[in-house]
Amino acid sequence: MADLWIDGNRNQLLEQQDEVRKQQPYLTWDTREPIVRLEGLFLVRHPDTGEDLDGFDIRVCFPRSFPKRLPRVWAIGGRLPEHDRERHVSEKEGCCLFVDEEFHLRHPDGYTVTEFLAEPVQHYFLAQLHYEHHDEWPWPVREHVKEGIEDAYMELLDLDDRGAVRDCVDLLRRRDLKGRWDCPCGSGKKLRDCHGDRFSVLRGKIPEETFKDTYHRLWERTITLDGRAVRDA
Amino acid sequence: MTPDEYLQAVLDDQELPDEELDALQERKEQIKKLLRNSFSDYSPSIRDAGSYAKGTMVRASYDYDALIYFPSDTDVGETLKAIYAEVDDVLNDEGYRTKRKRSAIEILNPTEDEDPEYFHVDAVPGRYVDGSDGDVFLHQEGGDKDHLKTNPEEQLDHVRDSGVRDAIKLLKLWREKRRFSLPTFVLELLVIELLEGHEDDSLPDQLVHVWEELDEQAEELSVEDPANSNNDLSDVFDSATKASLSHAAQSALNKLDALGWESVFGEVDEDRKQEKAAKVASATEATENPHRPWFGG
Repeated sequence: MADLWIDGNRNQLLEQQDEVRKQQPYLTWDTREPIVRLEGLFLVRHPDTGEDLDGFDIRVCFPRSFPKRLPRVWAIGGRLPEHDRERHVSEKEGCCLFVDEEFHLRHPDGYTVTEFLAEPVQHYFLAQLHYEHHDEWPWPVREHVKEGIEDAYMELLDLDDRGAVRDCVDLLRRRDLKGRWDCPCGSGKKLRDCHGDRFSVLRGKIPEETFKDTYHRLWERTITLDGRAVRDA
Repeated sequence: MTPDEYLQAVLDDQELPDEELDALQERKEQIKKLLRNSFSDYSPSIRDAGSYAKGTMVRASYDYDALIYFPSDTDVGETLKAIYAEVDDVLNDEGYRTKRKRSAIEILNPTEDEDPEYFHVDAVPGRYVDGSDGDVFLHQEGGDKDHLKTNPEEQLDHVRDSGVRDAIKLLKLWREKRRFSLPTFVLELLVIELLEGHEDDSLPDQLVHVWEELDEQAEELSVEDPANSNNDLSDVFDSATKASLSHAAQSALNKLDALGWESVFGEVDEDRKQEKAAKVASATEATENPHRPWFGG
């Protein structure tokens, strides 16, 4: 358990615990190993007035390599279905908050637990609340499974060919890149003359673990909390 | 609206509409008639039980139990298991789909086209212990013992005369909203035990008391069949169930503290529902650059 994220960061953990308590007083930390958890009533707030609109019982699990690997959130307490595409709830991976890369790009310098709760978790549960009252998701969503990832990358890399996404992610997950390699976008140009700079920017902002997980997801594997790729039964 | 008024409004909202009540009555009579006719040679007594008889029905969770109890010297089946199977066969032969539960036989809607959920009628076969028309033996599917001895009238009276039926109804509703699995009779026994001495408290105070006890002491709690203290209910009220209950209770108390009663049972007033829907819509409109959820499968 030596590489558990809280081991070398006790002070950081204490600071984050205090911050979370101020913002979300009904969430309780459980730092017993092997998984650090935050659990309890998450208050969904009005972004303008700060009024507490409603609350959902949630469990947030922090992977060993947090914050490189993102926490997973589960809705507990029976209010959401266990598995529902329309409501973005997966039995295997919990609440489907975002495409991981898009979160990291918003927080290239890292993020705190409070920021994680105040943004994607708040957005997600506010949207669930909206769904309960209005029978629809209030904002644009990503397509499901592979298509959603491909759409995200096509936007990030300005690609025309969906088929090129997997090759791009394959390259992005490598330790080193060589400018003389063919660009995986299919342009026929060398990487240095094509997407090389864009790749560098992404690699500077997104942890390599994310590219590895995405690559497996493109092969329709499920990723566990600590990054194991498992084939669906 | 005061908490008392609100909870009363919740109870009123959970009253079965006449249409649904009539449909239940009709189904109940259908099943009773079938059982009476099919077993007329064996002189069973057929009685009403379930939340229908106890006066604890809520729209979210209700059932009618048709107790079919044979005389102690019956030859409808050599064993309790055989009696149970006979009743199940009669229902199946008449075209009813059934699902075997611990001691009851759940009757499902006749065809899969209809709401698969619930016919809301169970048959509970049993055999009187002796000629006194009181204690009965019931078959048990699964579990360590294949039968148990109890007294249905005593069980019914225990709930009907508890003085806390409204609290029971609300906590059944709470259970359904939380989707946690706890047999109704265990929930009833728990609530009655926890509210002993609190029968004259207000409904809000009763609920808070139950939740506080569940939050703080669930692990120590145990329930007993009022008709037979030897019946072991520990396998349906085990540690995992107690832990679940404790978490659920804590959640209810937190919601009450943070957001009020409506966060536990929902809005019942139409104006308040509309008001909340409008606030939620304004909140989503005011959210800048929301994350786009992605479903991974």
